[in-house]
Amino acid sequence: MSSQPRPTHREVHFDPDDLIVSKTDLKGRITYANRVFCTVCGYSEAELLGQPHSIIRHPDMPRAVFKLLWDTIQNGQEVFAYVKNMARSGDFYWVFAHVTPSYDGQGHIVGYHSNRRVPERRAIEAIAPVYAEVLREEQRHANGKDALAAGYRRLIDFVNAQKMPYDELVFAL
Amino acid sequence: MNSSLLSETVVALGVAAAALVGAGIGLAVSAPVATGAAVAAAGVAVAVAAWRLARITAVCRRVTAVAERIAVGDFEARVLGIREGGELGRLQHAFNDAIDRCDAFVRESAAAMAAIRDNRYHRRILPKGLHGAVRGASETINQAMEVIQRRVAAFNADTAAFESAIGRVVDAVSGAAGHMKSTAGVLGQGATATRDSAKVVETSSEHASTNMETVAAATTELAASAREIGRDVNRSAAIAREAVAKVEHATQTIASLSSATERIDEIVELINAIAAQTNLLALNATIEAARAGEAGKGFAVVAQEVKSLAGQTARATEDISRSIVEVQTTMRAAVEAVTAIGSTMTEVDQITAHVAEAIEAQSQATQEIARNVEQAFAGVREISETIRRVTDHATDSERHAGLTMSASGGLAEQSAALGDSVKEFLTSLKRAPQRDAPAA
Ligand SMILES: Cc1cc2nc3c(=O)[nH]c(=O)nc-3n(C[C@H](O)[C@H](O)[C@H](O)COP(=O)(O)O)c2cc1C
Repeated sequence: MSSQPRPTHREVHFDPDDLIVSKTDLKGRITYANRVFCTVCGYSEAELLGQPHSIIRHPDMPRAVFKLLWDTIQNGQEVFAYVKNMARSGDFYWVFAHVTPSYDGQGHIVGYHSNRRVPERRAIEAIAPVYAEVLREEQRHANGKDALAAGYRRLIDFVNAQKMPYDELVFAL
Repeated sequence: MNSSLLSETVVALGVAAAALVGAGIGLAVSAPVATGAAVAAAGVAVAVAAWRLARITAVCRRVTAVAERIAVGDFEARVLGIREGGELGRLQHAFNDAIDRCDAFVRESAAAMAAIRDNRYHRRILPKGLHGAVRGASETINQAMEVIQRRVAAFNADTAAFESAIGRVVDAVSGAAGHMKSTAGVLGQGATATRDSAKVVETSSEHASTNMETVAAATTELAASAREIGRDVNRSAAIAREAVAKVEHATQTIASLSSATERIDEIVELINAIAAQTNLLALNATIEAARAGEAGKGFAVVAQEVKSLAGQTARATEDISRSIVEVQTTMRAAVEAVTAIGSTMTEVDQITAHVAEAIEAQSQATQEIARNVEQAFAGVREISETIRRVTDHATDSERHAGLTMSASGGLAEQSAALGDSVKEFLTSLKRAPQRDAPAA
C-alpha cells in the first residue's frame, strides 16, 4: 500500500444514480471494486484488490462505527452506516454504506459485500457531529482497547437516546 | 491499456489485406523485391491479428465463465482485472455493472423480505442506484411492504384488542368462578348448617310429636273420664232427684201414718171409755151380785171376770197409747229426718247440677284442648314434614354447592386454559415462520 495521503477539506461527489460496489474476503481485504469505486477513490482496480478496505478510511471516522459494522455483519446481518471516506487525493466523500455478508450454497459466510449510495445531506449533517463526539471520546484514551470501548459506549448511548433501534435510526436521520 | 483490441485487430487485418494487394500488384508488374516486402508485411499483419484474436478469445472466455456462474445464481462472480479499453473494456465493465445492479436488487429484496419474515416492517428496498424494470420491481415490492406493514399494524391492533377483550373475559370469568366458588363454599356451609339445624329441629319436632301424642292421648283419656264423670254425676243427680221424690213420698206416707195413729188414738180413747164403762158396769154387777148373794155368786164371778177383762183392756189400750205415742214420736223424728234428708237431697241435687255443669264445661274445655292439641299435633307433623323437606333441600343444596364448587374450579381452569390458548394462538399468529439457515 502506498503511503497514507493527507486529508484535505475538499469533498467530492458521485452520481446519485450510481452505486459504489466493493467486496471483501472474511478479513476485509478487497476482492472486487467496481468502476465507480475506482473513479471516486482514485485507485485502480489493481491497486485496490487484496488491500484492506481501510485503504479509504478517513481519520475523522471513529473506530466504534466499524466495530458496530463488523459485529453486525459477522453476526450474519446487514448493516447500514454513514461513512466518510478518503480518496487517494486526500479529498473526502460521504457514502451511505449497506454492508452484507455473502453466503455460499451451504449458508456459510464467504465474504462481505458493500453497496454505497449518495447519502441524504441532512443525515450527514445529523451524524457528523455525533461521529466527532465519539471520535473525541476515543481520542481521550491512550489505550486503543479503552478508546474503542469508550467510543462504542458513546455511540450506543446516542442510539439509545433516540429511542429506536439502530437499523431504524439510520433511516430516520 | 487504452487502445482497443478489436480496432487493433481490424487494423492488423486491413494492413495484411493491403499488403497482400501490394504483393499481387508486385507480382503483376514483376517487381520481386516489392512483392517480397508486401508478403512479409502481410505475414506480420496476420500474425498481429492472430495474437489480438487470441486475446479477444481469452476475454470472451472470462466473460463467458462469469456469465455461466451468474446464470446459476452465483452473484459473487465478477470480471476481474479488466485491462482492455475500448469496446471490450466497456463490454466487461457494463457486464459487471449489470451484475452489480442485479446483485444489489437481489440483496435489497432479500433483506427486505427477511425483515418481513422477522416481523420488521420498516426495511424498504433502497431504489437509489437501481433503474428501469429492477427499479419498478423494487417500487412494487416496497408498495407491497407498505400494505403488509399497514395490515400487520391493523392485525396487531385487532389481536391486541382481541387479546385484551379475551383477557378481560377470562379475568371476569375467573373472578366470577372465584366468587362462585366462595359463594358455593358459603352455600355449602350454609346447607350443611341448615341440614344440621334441621336435624336438631327434626329430632325436637319428633320429641314434640311424641309429647303431643302423649298429651293427645291424655286429653282423650281426660275427655273420656270427664264424660264418664259427667255420666256418673248425671246418674247421681237422677238418683238424688229420685231420692228427693222418695223423701217427699215418705213424708206423705208418714203424714198419712200420723193421721192413722191419731185415728187409732181416737179408737183407743173409745175403747178406754168402753173399758171404763165396762168396769163400772162390772162393779155394779158385782154389787148387784153381792146383793143377790148366792144366786148372784156366779154372776159375781162373771162380773169379776168382766171387770178384769175391762182392766186388761184398759191396760192394753194404755200399752197401745204408749206405743202410739212412741210411734208418733218416732214418726216425728222420721219426718224430721226425712225432711232433713229431703233438704240435703235438694242441696245434693243443686250441687250435682253445678257439678254436672262444671263437668260439662270441663268436658267442652277438654274437647277444645283435644282439638287444639290435634291442631298443634298437625302443626308439629307439618313442621316435621317441612323440616324433612328442608333437610332434603339442604342435602340437595350441599350436593349442588359441591358440584358448583368443582364446576367453578373447572370453570376457572377452563377460563385460564382459554386465556392461555388464546395467548398461544395470538403468539403463534404473530410469530414469524421459524428461521431456517439464513439465505444468501
Ligand atoms: C464490505 C466492506 C466494506 C467496507 N467499506 C468501508 C469503507 O467504505 N470505508 C471504511 O473506512 N471502511 C470500510 N470497511 C471497514 C474496514 O474493513 C475497516 O474495518 C475500517 O476501515 C477501519 O479500519 P481499521 O479496522 O484498520 O481501523 C468495510 C468493510 C467491509 C467488510
